[in-house]
Amino acid sequence: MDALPLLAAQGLWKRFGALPVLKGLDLALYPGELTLLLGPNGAGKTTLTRLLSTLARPSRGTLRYRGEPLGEKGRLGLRSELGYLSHQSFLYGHLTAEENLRFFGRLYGVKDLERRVEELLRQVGLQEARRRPASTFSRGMQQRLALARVLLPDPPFLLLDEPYAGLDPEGSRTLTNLLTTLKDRRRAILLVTHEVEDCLPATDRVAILAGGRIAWESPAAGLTAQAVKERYFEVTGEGRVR
Amino acid sequence: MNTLRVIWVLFEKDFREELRRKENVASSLLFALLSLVLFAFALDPTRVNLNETGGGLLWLVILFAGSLFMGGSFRKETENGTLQALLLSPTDRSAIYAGKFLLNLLFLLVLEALLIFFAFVLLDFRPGPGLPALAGSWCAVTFGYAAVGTLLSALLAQVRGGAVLYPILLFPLMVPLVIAAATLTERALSPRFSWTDPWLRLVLLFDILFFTASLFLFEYAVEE
Amino acid sequence: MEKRTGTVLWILAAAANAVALALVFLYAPVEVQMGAVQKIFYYHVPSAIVCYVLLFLAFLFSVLYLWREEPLYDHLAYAAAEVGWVFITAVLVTGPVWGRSAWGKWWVWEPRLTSFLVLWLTYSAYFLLRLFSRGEGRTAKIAAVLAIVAFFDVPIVHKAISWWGSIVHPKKVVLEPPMRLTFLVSLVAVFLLGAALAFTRTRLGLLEAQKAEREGWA
Repeated sequence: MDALPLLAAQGLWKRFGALPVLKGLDLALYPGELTLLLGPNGAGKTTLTRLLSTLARPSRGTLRYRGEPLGEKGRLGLRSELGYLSHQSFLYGHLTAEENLRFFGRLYGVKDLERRVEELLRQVGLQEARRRPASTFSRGMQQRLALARVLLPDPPFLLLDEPYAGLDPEGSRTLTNLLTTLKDRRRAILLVTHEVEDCLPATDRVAILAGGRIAWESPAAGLTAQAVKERYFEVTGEGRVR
Repeated sequence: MNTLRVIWVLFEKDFREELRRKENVASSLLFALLSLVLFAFALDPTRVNLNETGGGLLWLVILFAGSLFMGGSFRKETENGTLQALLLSPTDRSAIYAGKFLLNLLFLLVLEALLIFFAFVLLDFRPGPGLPALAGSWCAVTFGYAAVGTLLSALLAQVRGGAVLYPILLFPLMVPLVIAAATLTERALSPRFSWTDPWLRLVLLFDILFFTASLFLFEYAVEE
Repeated sequence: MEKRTGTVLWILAAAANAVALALVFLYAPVEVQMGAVQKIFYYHVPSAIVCYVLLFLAFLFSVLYLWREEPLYDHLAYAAAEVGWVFITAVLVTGPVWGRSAWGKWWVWEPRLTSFLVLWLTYSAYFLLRLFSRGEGRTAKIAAVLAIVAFFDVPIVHKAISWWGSIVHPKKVVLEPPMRLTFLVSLVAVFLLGAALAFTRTRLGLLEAQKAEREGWA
């Protein structure tokens, strides 16, 4: 494990109007590590991902990217190295699969774009559908295209918000394998999900967000899915993980 | 990546999307033609002569049809969260504004050209030698309209009922441009036009002020 | 924001307005041409001036809010805009009352009144925006951007409309000493009224926010 976290949050607070959602949250993400983030709905997981991805600014606290506190240049740097998979598809319905990929590729300055687009379409199994508008895709296909979009610039840092949603069992397995490969290539991954069982094999650390902070954190080595669920129930009083 | 190239990439993406989508462009243009026809019915052509004083009417049509098109320019980016995707990309956020602005500007200019054509056919609107002056004035006014219209579209993209609110917010701010457009249209069609007209200078001031302000305020309008 | 400051402001405002009204009706001479109705001027013009000050403050606090993200600035901006809007309405109401006796019509499309009409439309839209997006976290930022854009438009609207309109509004008003004194007192009175209103409104906003926060905890 690297000594320097790729992204480190310290004492993060986020208020919406007068309502605080995050209250002094600390979290560090390291290259080559997959951190699993669990928490009840509304606990602030999405808020946290928005802060980490620079979509929102914290009301208080610091974010450090590669050791440096986040300024304007830092934010641009972070965004160029971040792949964010949301529960929204981030796809342009009227553009074809390839056009979507090409557009985002150009936006991210991806080198050798045509080849990369080919490669990713193949990786997610969408070559046949490449000339079809994204709006004609099924939910599962959209999820796969969204994943391709995220991986196109080969970002060092991945933020995946419920990536298993809409995937069939085979798709889930492919995703988990993909995550393992990405870790081997020293990517830092933050995975937000309720599907503990699917991704526990690839997980290095588990963190539970409750009460606006990381209420519990632990290395995943030796943890079973059952143990995690029990811990989750203890910390949050809910049993909604699978 | 070079900001100008990014703006071009964004513009090209929107251009392609609008061409495929067709409904935004088509409905706005049709609405414009419809308004023109309704004006012809509602106003007595013997008393309202477009070539003399009624030119401002054309600008009302542009205002309404333009707001229909521009209002949706950022709202459609909320369909699949693509606005977020753009904000996440490693670009200067003003570039996102600039890309949309260019698209809106292009649409408005096309709309205006078509409108002049239809007004010529249906309402005997004859700019004649005043056409360059007319075109110049309208371009200047359109620039300001597109600038504010694009910003407000971004501002209201994620607000509930934003579609209804959009014209209500936009039109009061456009009052100076509407007056300017009407006055300049009238002058362009008469021998009284001059390129140093104080109205043109006011419009230019408006354009520069609001375009610059929008470039700067855009990020605040869309961030969380 | 202490309640005591608000109370003091209100007492001052009440006192100043009592004095002003006394001066207006008992001290200031009745104008030759228009009669007693002219006295509306003592509230009409100060309302306009205070209104500009408030809209400027709304702009200023909006800028501060975008810069610092302190909720207090948002409350101040909202209060300033709201009270400012009240004063615009006051101008639009007192204007025609004066106009009716001065020009014989309730409304004329003369520059200053027309500018205020456009201002009224602009800031009414601001309130609609606040209403529509109430409860959403981004409201404050969106409103702030609007307040800034709206304020930039104010001088341009004025310029444009004054070039467009006819010159019916008396440009230079010559004030005799007793009128001048009355005018100044009225100005102070209206100013204090505006300050008291804005202060109370800001406090109200803060209290509402605190209540929402407490309920959010539950």
